[in-house]
Amino acid sequence: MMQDEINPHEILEIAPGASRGEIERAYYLARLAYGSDSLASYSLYSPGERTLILDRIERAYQLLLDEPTGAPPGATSAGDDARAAGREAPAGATPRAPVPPADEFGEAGAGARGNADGNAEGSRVVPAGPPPVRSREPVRPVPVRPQIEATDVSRPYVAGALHQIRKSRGLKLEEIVTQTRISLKNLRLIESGDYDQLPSVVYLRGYLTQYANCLRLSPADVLADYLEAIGGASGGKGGKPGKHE
Amino acid sequence: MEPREKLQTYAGPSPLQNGLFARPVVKSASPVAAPERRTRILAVGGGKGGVGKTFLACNLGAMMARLGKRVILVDADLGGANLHTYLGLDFPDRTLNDVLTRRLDRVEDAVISTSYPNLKLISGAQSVLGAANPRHDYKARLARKLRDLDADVVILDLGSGTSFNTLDTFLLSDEGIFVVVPEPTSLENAYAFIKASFFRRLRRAATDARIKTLVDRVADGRVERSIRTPADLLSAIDGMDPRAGARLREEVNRFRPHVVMNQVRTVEDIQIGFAIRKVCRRYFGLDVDYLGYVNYDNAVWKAIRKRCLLLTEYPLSEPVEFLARMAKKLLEQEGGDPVITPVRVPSGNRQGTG
Repeated sequence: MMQDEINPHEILEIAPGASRGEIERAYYLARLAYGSDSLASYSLYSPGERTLILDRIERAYQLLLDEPTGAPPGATSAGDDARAAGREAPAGATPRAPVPPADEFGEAGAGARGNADGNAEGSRVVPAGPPPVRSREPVRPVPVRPQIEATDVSRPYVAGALHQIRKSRGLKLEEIVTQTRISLKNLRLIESGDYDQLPSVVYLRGYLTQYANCLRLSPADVLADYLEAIGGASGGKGGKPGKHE
Repeated sequence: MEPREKLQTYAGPSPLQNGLFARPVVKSASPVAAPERRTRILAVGGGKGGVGKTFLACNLGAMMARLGKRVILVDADLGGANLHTYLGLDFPDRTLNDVLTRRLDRVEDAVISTSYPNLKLISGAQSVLGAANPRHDYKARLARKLRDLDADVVILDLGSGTSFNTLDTFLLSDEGIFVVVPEPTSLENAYAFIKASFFRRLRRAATDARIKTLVDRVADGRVERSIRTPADLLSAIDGMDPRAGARLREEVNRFRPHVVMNQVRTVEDIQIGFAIRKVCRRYFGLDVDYLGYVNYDNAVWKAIRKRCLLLTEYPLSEPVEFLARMAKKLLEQEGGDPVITPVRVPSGNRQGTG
């Protein structure tokens, strides 16, 4: 029997009793490591060797899939039945929305991403042959924390401060134009502190929100500070926006 | 730009630092801590050129320096030294080559201050014929001297390729950081480097002539059928002499390579690092640490073009965030080391600022 020959946990390098998520994660990683177009094992293992390794990984994964779901008798060894069982399992489970990319680097974050991957792939758990790993996945950008935790530039986030923060983020105004579709002219105005020339507050709110996101600042903070400065400038509350003449 | 001005802005603990490094990095010296001072030697390599070895070496070094460590960067790329450029310095008058050729007596004399506090540099030789191939006794000299440097961390920036000199310099270090980018060429060269350094380390540590011969045979590819991978080789040595096998295994495990994935563009690129770790465990029997990744970002080449450190030029850029994570992780790993030096707080003394 196949089950006697291989230890699926050992092959996928997971602990006995690993959760479904851990299994999916390990399977994903193993295919990433030994898949036919894998960068990670290219030049170390020959295509033949990789096929052998990949075959063991597929078998281990199928065995593990069968275990917890209580597959119907007779489905334990035959490939087609196992495939059918594999297809049923994720379908029966409530489909979870893909987890947004974790911003933590490490096993925990990677695990969360792995789960998302596993579920996204649910409908084709056991692919026939060696297709490329997740070719249908959209390209997901590298996750970073959505907001900078602290800056060297102190609040309030008004014209001069925002300009300084953008500079130290290494961003050009032109790059923000392409990301947000705010015109270069309006961006310059936002950073110049020439508050009289700014578009009306209705538009400005939208611009500032997008601009703050580009700078990875809290849009709420930027809006609050900036609108207060405008109010102060027009209402003559005080000289907070330093550059305003 | 004026590095001096930036220095004023970013020297010492800043809000940025407090944000990024929330945990206190500076530990007070415990009464039990031995007074023994140990310089940690890191080597940054990776085989292929242009993957960001020097970029990573100097920015990680600067980050550690900012965290209060006294760091010396050593440009060990003896054929094509350019670390000074990343730091905005002109080619210095004293280099590592002067030490290797005994024009300078002490390696300390080749240490140059930079405009960054706690960060110093030993530059590499440039365009000196034969500089890339120092004699063996010079290298042995260097090995001893590096340990004696007055620093907490010494970072060796290696050249590309797997020449004996690069390998030997690499083996001077306590830990290697392999920089790779998600491209087959980069990984091919990185694996070649890991493999070559693995064999060279084994061969040096082996005392038995039979084992040396076996290592040579495997390294040359004249392999017995049973020995396919370095991991197999260790098993074979176990079979010949269990005591020697255990000793060599220990020697190999003493060295824990780190992998850094540079220029990642997608989540998949990040995941490749985990796959590399998996493959290395199987193929080399090596426990590789996936230290971290740096995203592909225009800010990096903008900073290099300006001959400025990314860290100071664009402190709020995303790569800096990833670099900070890695520096923090490296220093935390050191925390587990039994022979750790208590960190000296650079309060007030801004050495190297001139």
